[in-house]
Amino acid sequence: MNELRQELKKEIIQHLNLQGTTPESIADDMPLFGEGLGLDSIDVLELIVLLDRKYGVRISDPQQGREVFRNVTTMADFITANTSK
Amino acid sequence: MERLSILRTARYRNGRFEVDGAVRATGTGDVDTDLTAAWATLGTNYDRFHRTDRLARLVLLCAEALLAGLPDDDDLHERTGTVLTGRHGSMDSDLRHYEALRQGQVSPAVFVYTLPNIALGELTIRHRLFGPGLCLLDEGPDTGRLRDLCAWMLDGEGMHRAICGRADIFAGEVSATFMLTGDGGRPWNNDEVDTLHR
Repeated sequence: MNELRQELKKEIIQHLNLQGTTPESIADDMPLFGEGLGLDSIDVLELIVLLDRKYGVRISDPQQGREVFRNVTTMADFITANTSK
Repeated sequence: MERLSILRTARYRNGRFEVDGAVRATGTGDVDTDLTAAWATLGTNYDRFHRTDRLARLVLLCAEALLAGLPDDDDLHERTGTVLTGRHGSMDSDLRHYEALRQGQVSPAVFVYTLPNIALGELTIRHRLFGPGLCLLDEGPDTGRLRDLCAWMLDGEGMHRAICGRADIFAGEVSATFMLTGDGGRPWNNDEVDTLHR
């Protein structure tokens, strides 16, 4: 799981072109939006595409998206839960 | 009484970046590398710059140079108008989006920039500008029309300054000519503006 979280941090940085951000600077429970990493609504769409293409998991319910993209841990939990089925 | 004068200028031609005629960067030939290098010369901490498309980065770069040093206050936010023109609009991102579609690799972050006025939006977000903004596509710089539009911003809309910018990216050619207009600079001169746009 820790490996997946580290991988996700790298993917987020690369996919969203977060220059100046390192995986080490993203805490597992740091909020991805608002005061945390400061992502926006377009970034959410990019993350949805990332999860679909790289991990083969899809989010169709907006409410589910809010929970999944809370932080890196919730993203990793979602991927783990949905790829092991 | 017309208050139109030129306060500051910024030009960008394929990596060569000038502010008030002084060369800040000369370019390497790679569009993205050059925009990043030119931005670095301004010493600005605004990471969103790197996440926008090329047109928006070009607009942000030149506008940043024009507004550098101005007080970040209500006067700037409420009394600055913007006239943004260009020939090819968002074609650079349009083509990227088309290519992504063709390869089945659509990116929302590319798609969102497939309108030229998004660059204007990025500029107004960056500097929190609430004044009037225009985004026009035309064949070439029309000095007379630019003059009329800037004068209208200042005298008709009560702005204290107007950013008059032309930005174009297409087929590897990158150019921008930006002027900060307002009161107290050198009087607008059509010949000078024509020369700046060459």
